[in-house]
Amino acid sequence: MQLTGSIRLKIIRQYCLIFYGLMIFKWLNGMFLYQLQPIFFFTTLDFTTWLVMLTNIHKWLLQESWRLLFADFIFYILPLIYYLVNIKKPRLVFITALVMLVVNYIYVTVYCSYPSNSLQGHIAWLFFPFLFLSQSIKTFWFLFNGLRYYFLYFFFSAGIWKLAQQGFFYTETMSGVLQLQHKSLLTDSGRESFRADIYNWLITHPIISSLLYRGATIAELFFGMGFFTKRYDYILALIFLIFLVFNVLIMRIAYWEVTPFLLTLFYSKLVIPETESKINQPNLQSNSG
Amino acid sequence: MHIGMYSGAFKIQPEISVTEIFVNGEKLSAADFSAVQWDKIQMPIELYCYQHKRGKSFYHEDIKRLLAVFSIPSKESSFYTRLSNAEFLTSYKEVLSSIIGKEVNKIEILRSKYRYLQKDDQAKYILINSKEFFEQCN
Repeated sequence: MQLTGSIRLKIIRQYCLIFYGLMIFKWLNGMFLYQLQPIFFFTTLDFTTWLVMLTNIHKWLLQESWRLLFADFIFYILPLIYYLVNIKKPRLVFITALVMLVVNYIYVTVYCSYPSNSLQGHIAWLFFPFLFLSQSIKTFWFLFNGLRYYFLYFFFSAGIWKLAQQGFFYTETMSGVLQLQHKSLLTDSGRESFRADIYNWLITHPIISSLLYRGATIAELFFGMGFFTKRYDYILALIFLIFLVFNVLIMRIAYWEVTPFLLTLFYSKLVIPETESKINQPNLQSNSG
Repeated sequence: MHIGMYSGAFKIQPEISVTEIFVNGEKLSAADFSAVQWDKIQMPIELYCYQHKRGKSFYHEDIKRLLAVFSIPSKESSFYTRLSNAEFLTSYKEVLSSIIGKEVNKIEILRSKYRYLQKDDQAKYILINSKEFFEQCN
């Protein structure tokens, strides 16, 4: 099936659904900027973050809580505006996407410079606006595939890293990881905790816990297959979902904000359009395959 | 601190250091909070300490030098907040109070060292010592 204007709009709609689903999750967990009430900012070894910090916007936001709320508002309203612009005023798509790109870049880097978030888990919000900048269906197809390759690289490189750092070859690695990750829970001897019992069991059984680590590494390396064929993309999507669930259960790390990349696997088999068509052409809605 | 996807080889440590927070004389337990909540409780303390110790030199030794390569002028205040332990604790108490849902009248933060002991399938953590958390941040 060819990528058409209506399928493009469907992808944007699904991106928005994921975005707003995660927004509700974050709000319920007190993860909006205004809810985090950051006390100070934390400087990481990241050049692009430094460029944002040079503007002092992170300090300006810290001074008043309404400014944090304002930043949240702008960040969360933009995907909806972008979607509506696509339906009502397609000629404004580029400028809206450009605003989203700048806002997302500033918001995410600032959000991750306050001490409770990592940039790694927010890459979807940094990269998808590039896709939205496209003004033709063909460009959209190329960028969408580019995102897919980046997503594959994200996982594949993590697998390669575990081999290069030799964690894969040590039976004790996963036990050591669990001990460090859950140390607060494990040392809290005054409390009964089912989770602590499970982690302790895994720590004291390194051969079994290493199966989890090695299984995860092999699953990450399997993403390399995606560079050569799109045939297994549904399997990759399933592996990704299992990876997310296990990350929450075993590591207590939520990587949910990477989920928009799932779209690149679900729609990977779409064929490049034969003719060049602009997204702001009036016959957009009837141009379905 | 989290161990991410890009982590290296690890071994089971014979000794581990843990940050412990006592509110109104009672120890906060990770088991009572979600992972997100516990991060919001722990991370600011850990990263404040790191920033307090390393933040200033990080700017002068790395950031300033690297930005200068691209002829980008910079100021220390953009990358480093001068915040005393007392100032941090005052603000932190407010944040903590909103997370745990009760007033924080007294707070004590310790850095405790535990020894890991394993006998058959049983893992035990024996307290070796506890120190005032901010001692290590200066």
